Amino acid sequence: MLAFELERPRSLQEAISILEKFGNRAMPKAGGTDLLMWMKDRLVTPEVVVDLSLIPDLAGVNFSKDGLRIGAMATCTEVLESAAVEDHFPALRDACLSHSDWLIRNRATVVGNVCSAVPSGDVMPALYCYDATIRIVGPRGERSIPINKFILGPRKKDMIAGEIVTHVFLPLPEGKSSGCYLKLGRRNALDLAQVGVACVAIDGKNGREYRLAYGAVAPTPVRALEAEKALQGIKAPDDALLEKVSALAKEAVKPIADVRAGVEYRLAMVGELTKRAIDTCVERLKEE
Amino acid sequence: MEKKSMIGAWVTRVYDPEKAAGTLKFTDDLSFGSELLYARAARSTIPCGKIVNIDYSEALKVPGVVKVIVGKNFPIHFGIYLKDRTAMAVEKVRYIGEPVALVVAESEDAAEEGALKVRVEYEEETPVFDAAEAMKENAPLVHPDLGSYEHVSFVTPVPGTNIAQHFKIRRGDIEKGFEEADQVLEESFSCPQIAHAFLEPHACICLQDPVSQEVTIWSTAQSAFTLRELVAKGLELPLHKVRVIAPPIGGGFGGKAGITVEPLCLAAALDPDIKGRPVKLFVPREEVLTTSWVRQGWNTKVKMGVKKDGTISAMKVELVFDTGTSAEYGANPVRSAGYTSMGCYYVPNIWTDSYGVYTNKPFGGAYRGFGLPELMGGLEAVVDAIAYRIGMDPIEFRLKNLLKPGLPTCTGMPMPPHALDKIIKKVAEKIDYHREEPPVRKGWKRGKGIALAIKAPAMPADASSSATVEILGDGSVKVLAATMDMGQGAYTAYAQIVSEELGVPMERVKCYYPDTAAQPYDWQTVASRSLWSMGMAIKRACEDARSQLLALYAEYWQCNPEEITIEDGIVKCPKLGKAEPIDEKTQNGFKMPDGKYKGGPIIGRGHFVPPDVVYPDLETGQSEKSVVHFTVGAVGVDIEVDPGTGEIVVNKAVAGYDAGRVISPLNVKCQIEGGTVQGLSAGMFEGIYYDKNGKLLTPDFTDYKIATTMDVPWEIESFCEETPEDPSPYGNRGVGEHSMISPAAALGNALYKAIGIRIHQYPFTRERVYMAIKAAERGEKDFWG
Ligand SMILES: Cc1cc2nc3c(=O)[nH]c(=O)nc-3n(C[C@H](O)[C@H](O)[C@H](O)COP(=O)(O)OP(=O)(O)OC[C@H]3O[C@@H](n4cnc5c(N)ncnc54)[C@H](O)[C@@H]3O)c2cc1C
Repeated sequence: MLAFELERPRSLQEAISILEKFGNRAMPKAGGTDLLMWMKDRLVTPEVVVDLSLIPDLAGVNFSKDGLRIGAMATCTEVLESAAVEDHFPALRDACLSHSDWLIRNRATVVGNVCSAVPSGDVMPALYCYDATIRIVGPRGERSIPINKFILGPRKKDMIAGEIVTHVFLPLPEGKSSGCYLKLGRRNALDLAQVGVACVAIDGKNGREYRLAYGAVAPTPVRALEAEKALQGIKAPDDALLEKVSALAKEAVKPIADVRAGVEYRLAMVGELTKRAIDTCVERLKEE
Repeated sequence: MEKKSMIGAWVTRVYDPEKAAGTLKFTDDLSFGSELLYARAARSTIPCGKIVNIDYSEALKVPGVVKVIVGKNFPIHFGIYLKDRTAMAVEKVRYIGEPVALVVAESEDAAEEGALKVRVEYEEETPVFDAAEAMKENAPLVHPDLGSYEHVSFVTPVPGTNIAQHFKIRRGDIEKGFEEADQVLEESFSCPQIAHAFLEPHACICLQDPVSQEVTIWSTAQSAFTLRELVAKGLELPLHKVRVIAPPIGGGFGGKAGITVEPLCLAAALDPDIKGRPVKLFVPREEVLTTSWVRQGWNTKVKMGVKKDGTISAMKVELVFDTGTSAEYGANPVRSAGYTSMGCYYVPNIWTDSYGVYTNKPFGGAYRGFGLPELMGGLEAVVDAIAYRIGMDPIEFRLKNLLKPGLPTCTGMPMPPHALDKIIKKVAEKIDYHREEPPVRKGWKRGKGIALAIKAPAMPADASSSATVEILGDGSVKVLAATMDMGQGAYTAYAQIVSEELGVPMERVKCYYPDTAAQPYDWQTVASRSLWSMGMAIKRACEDARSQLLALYAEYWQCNPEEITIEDGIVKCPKLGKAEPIDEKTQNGFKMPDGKYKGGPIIGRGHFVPPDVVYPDLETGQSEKSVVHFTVGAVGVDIEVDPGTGEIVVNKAVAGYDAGRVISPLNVKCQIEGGTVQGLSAGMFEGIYYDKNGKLLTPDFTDYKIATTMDVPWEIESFCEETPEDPSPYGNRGVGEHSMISPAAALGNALYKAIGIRIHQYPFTRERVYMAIKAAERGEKDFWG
């Protein structure tokens, strides 16, 4: 790993000005659980690492009647331990719980997972289902962008030098909802997803609505909009419908073969986990 | 009140508190001051070819880089069984990741930076990655010079081919045996290379004194003395001029046996411009698999002939080990599997060919189980399959064909006493093998499977041990026994032996980590041999020390030595009513009734070499005593499978071994549990993979997966039978490796029961199991994908 300077700004303004000054030669660091690995492998070679952990504005998880704000420094553990997340965003809670192990989760942030923008990022499918928006500040001020516009491709995101994501915002689902995230890995902990499926079901104004999003099976997380449509309004999907929905979900994804899994298996698991995720959501909504 | 024996006592393990607190110093924790230099390898980017030019001018420009050394500067072949390996590629590279140059610098960062700047020009040649391909005539030769390599007499390379080792068994009349059979079944199973995955990567520091030329090595070595010997031979130095210090190591599993990464570090430390400064080589995790060895990939083919009544009449075994670019150590697991190729069965007619085959991949060597997981991974599956074929219960089939004590093994050696029949029955009972139970999880499929295990220590006939036991001036005891305690608990067991033999409390006994300058010789910490071989030496050393002490006391007290006892550190003569704790007299001498001093520090010494092992005949594999002893056992698993994803959950694993005598029950239990988990992990998750150009895809734990606590069986039950071994300190025999041998095979047998299709390729990953289930739904009975 190359030697680097560590900056530890205490305010957003200070962080932005350091990042702007060094441009591509600087990178922000949250938990560092991706950044440091990448530096070690020389996938990135920042000369200046800007640690965001001392900036008060970036801390914490806050819930209001509008929704949930997850600060850039909020760790997976903080998020999964939040009562509001458990009550209103269960798919995100599942996702955080599926992430790595306790040790890493105490460091790794939800925002860092988004900013890494790797296809297998575990928290992203849930954020896609909850229509999360990414809030950014930079030299040119603040902006807000839907997550699916923010993520552009593997390790590519819509951000320029000097910008920092301050938080993600998840609007409160309009109606009673349930959700889950099912992750398939090679083993039960500390693995990147071979396939990740998030499902959210909401009993809203127009009846039951479903959202389905997938990780690790396309260059970015994807929503299966056709599959969602096929389920629209249906509270107890039968086996035939679940089959149809899982076929539609497979059409929405485009997995590759790598050392973690082949295409055939990934596609089959998209189908299988879709059915299980919908079942789980339907059951969870019944329970309440 | 009868004295409680320390042999078999449940005691607290030594060195655990320091490990838990993090105060025990490992090799990487040692400080050498500002003199220390750091080395880092630049590595081959092609799998096979000639080195045309190495340009390291840019590396030399990196601030802090002191020197760049290339293979031809240090072309020495080091090695234990077959000297086919140099520290760096000389003239020819043989795998992607092979060291081609070594950058030495004032800091680790500079060394790394320099290594990235080395440019190598190659003339590419055709590689061969698959062992079966490599065995074909006209396959490209990985080692065209094989015929010129030095090797020990019991290793048999075939020059002009890629066969680095060919071990044969020819016993009985194989054709007649198959003619007598009513059923003949041939099946093959294979498994990719796997990794030891020890927590601590390799590290070493080497230093040569420019005046005396003496070499000192601090290394993460399992076997300080064998390392000393191999370095001394390679460098043509006398043994006393090579000193190896082996600090505690963080796991070895065979991966730190013999000589591993040390020559690479020596290439720098011996350089005329560097000599006199210590050089450190820390092998980063990502480079472990390309710097030292892994477990060999394998393909095991078994053809078995069985009579109607279920007796095995003949067996033909072909083992092909993919040993990568070196069989330096890997030649020996090939033998080990070969001379145990009857498994746990009596086979009157047996024909075995066990091959170690070169390919252009990182190389294979020692790994816990040493050839036997490779054999049993195939054989135990065939046993189940043929039992089903003839309509016999697999347990009954095993019991019927069991290699009972006294029957000849495949080398002709009579099988020593054991209680395997009892173990098999117990294991079957404990997993309720014969009861079909519904799955615990809705919609899953459940199955139970069993597999037997056998292994002998695989070592040269004359692998010896020695130890000293010094009774200190306060009655505490210093034990010098150069075994590496790498977690298996050797020092705890040694302290128990000393406590038992000398009558001192165990807490007052200390074993030190190996240093060849301070300790007496021991061959290696491998082969599950230590508590047996070193155990003999320690016991004898204790007897020696004790008789010295008693002789002194007898004169001092004017009684017979037989009238003296030592209990809890107190020397007693009940007849004379005398009792006193061991004190300074033991160190400084006893003032005898005649007024003269006698004695001085009491040092007991003991040594041991197996008396009667005969190397198997090179053509037939026959020998009246091919190995010192065998440890046998059985493992049973109760599993279930999620047909929707292929996930396996092990509900319960049961493992029993005939340990001869259990000296340290806690350690034995931990060894069995650990080995069972390691074996199941290998069976479910582990494999080293390459792309089509031979580039490693699984260099670190991102994609090399081993079981975590979330993947281990819900319940592991272990037990031991105790049929005494002779010779042996207490009847005990090796038990360290055995639990790793057959969990994967048992898993395979359970899986077949659960899903009705036989998977011929390890590991049983979720993806593979899922695909197999789909094939089973199409009516297929075997899955090869
Ligand atoms: C052992 C291990 C296991 C892992 N397991 C998983 C797993 O199961 N699932 C999974 O999805 N991931 C896993 N990861 C990857 C990693 O932990 C996650 O992606 C994590 O959520 C990243 O968060 P972080 O806070 O550590 O990010 P960092 O490493 O600090 O940053 C990641 C990237 O985002 C950028 N960045 C961070 N914060 C900001 C910000 N506020 N504004 C702009 N850019 C920013 C950084 O510059 C960097 O490029 C694992 C990693 C390790 C080491």
